[in-house]
Amino acid sequence: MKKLIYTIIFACFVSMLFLSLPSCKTSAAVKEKSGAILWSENCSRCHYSPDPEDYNDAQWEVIVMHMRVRTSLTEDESQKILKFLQDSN
Amino acid sequence: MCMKKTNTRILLLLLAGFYAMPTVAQEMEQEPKLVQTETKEPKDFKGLSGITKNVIIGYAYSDFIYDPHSEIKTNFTRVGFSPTMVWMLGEKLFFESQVEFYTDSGNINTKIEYLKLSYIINKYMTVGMGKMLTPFGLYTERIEAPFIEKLPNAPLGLRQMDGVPNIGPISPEMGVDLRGGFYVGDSKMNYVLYVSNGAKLNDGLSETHLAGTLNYENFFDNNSNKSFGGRIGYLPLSNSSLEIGGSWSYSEVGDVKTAYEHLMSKAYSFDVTYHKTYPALKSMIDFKGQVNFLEVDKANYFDEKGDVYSFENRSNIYYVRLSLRPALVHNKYMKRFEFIGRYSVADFANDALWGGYAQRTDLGISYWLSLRIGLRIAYEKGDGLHGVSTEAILVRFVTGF
Repeated sequence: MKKLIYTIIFACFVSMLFLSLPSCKTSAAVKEKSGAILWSENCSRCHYSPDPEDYNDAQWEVIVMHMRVRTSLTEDESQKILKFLQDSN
Repeated sequence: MCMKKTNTRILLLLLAGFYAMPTVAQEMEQEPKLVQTETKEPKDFKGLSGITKNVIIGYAYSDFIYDPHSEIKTNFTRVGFSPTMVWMLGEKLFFESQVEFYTDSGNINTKIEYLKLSYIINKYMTVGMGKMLTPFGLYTERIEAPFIEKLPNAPLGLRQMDGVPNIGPISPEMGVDLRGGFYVGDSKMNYVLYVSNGAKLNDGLSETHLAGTLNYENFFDNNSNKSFGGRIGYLPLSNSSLEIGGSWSYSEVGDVKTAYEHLMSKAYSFDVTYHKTYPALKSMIDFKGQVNFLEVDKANYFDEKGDVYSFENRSNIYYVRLSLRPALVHNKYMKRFEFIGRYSVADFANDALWGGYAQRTDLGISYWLSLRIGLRIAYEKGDGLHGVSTEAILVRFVTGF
């Protein structure tokens, strides 16, 4: 029974991956997402974020590096989020 | 004549040496600078140095419990403080460490939760080494921190506690990991691969009732075999609202030169996260779930009477949690509430002395005084191992980032 569950979950996972492959090129809409949108989409999945004013530019740089690695954000995402936080504090 | 020639040669050599001295002195002066420059900006590894920056983040919390079935019905059970230092040593190099101070069952505990040095190799890869939150499932690495977990307690089996079996690596491990994230079309993927000391089998010689359980806080390895594991996460929607992940971990778990040395442990986990704002509901919906499966080879153990018994550890735990926060309503008090429900199950190997089935339902409310401070109240009810019912009201006051 457990093997069947493993197989079904694995098959779903692989299917979803393959469904996304035909459109391997990232669309302009995703590429052009602002730092504010990326911050909202990514950070809030786990926790509510503090006000950008709670930390200064240098502190945000360190925090974003920490979160980039912890949650495997892409380089582009983390740079945009950092810029948004630094522009907003 | 011969003596005169020798003296002339010596004189010439001394003169040459005299004239060469400024050059040597210059080189000696320049050498440290050169070495310093090369060290500062190594050509092979970019971003190792620069202006160092650091920040201290972390969290603190205080817990209270009302247990109507206990002899001590009310209790301020636990306080904790976990400063987290993140130290950026260069553009691509940083160090992070979290120390935990907390009281539990009347004892004051201190421990290093994690301590890791990471280097960003390129935009797709970061390597880190040290004591790390094990990237197995999503809960341990991203949700477990008390200011992130929306309820005052953890799901069954997902918090490291003395005397409770670990079903999969739910506590930090010593090792090295490689991780990154990238786009696949409009979807995203992330990955972590790791090698660690792996789990250590409790053979039951000192704790008979825990024979066959695994301890992942194996800070000085008990055998030469290393654990290999990882997690692959997939975010199929372009707004990153959905993430599904699969994790695995394999290792031999017995002490070296014992009958358990080549006992194999296999653990798997699947997790799902869905987070989205629904304007029609004026709310944010958050769903999380995770299931861990553990298989440890069949082995013989001794019970309290010294009799041999054997079992194959096949255990699993899972939880699902749904929360709703009406963040878009106009009432400034109402929008700070969050309503949470969670169901969790621990199904431990039946033939183990610690085996059995437990389930628990938690219903809670979190009131966000600010985005960094929460007051949480939850009612929990369930069936513990061996059919013991549990019921309690929990309160947690927490702050953090």
